[in-house]
Amino acid sequence: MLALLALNLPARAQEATAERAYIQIRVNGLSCPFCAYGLEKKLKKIAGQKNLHIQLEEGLVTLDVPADKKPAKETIQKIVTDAGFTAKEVNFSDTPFKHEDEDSH
Amino acid sequence: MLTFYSPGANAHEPLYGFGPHVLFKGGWAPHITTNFSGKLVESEYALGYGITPAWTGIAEVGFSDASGPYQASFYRLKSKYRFYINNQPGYSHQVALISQLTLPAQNGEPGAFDMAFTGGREGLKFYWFASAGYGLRFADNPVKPGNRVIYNFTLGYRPFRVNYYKPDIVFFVETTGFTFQRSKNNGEPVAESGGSVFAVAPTFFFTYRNLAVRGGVQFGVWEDGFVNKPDTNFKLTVEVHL
Repeated sequence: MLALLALNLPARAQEATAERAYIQIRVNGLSCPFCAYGLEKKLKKIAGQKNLHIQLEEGLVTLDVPADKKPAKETIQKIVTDAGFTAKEVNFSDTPFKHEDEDSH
Repeated sequence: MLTFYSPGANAHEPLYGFGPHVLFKGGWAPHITTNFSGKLVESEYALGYGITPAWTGIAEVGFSDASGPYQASFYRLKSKYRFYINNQPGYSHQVALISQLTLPAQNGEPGAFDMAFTGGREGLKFYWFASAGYGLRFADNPVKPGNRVIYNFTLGYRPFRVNYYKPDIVFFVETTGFTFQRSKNNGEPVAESGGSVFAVAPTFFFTYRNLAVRGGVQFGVWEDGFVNKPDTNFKLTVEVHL
């Protein structure tokens, strides 16, 4: 019974992962934490967002959202612009993006 | 009062001067600034709001004990419009136009309307700001105070690596100069009026997430004409972005 459950776990995890859409934003103009707070505040208004992570030195922001509520690239670009920055790239993925500063928080 | 341009609703900007940064759209920035100069205490209570991504409005009330009891000394409305921005990886160049109307809270005190251009760079390691402005001064009095020119230049350095989730500090050296034109009495220049001053101030800017504390000490280093250089004074600002 336990063996059957164990065999089933990876499939379930994959299913849970597949329900999320992962977003990576390459942001120009990020240079100080105080300024970046406005970006965090605005991105946190995206419905169902989780795991928002800002890497200042790398100029990267990652988050994930429910796959069926994935915002359009233009929506994300406008959010970043309203916060005072420029979204140079917006990438979507079915799997999480790696953080380059994993020990940051 | 030589600190005509209070900071606030900004980012890593000069404590004694000004800079081009504006609030994010829809953002609120309450902040309190207190200046100690000898026995004189001046405070400003201000609230900034990000009207658009490029335009911030700020309302301020100043308090002072300069004329006896600690009481309201001025009301101020300030607009900052950033008309140029160049965001690049790890830094940003910006230029803004600041305009502000200052009305005295007490009879006999002068009011002012100031406009200034300010620009600079904010980076992961280095900062600089340069600004220049002109202020019209007026008073309900036969003696009209002279208009003024302000200019400042600031350099900043962040000694540690920056991380969004950790406290951050940047150190600055600020220079500020003022030139006052001669006052006029019924249209005639007042002989012993007008002049220039110059001051230097080491300052710091400490932040943790949406809380900022900045402080510093200003030294008057030069004076000319009939204006006294500022006494050594200490300034502290606490600001929150909401």
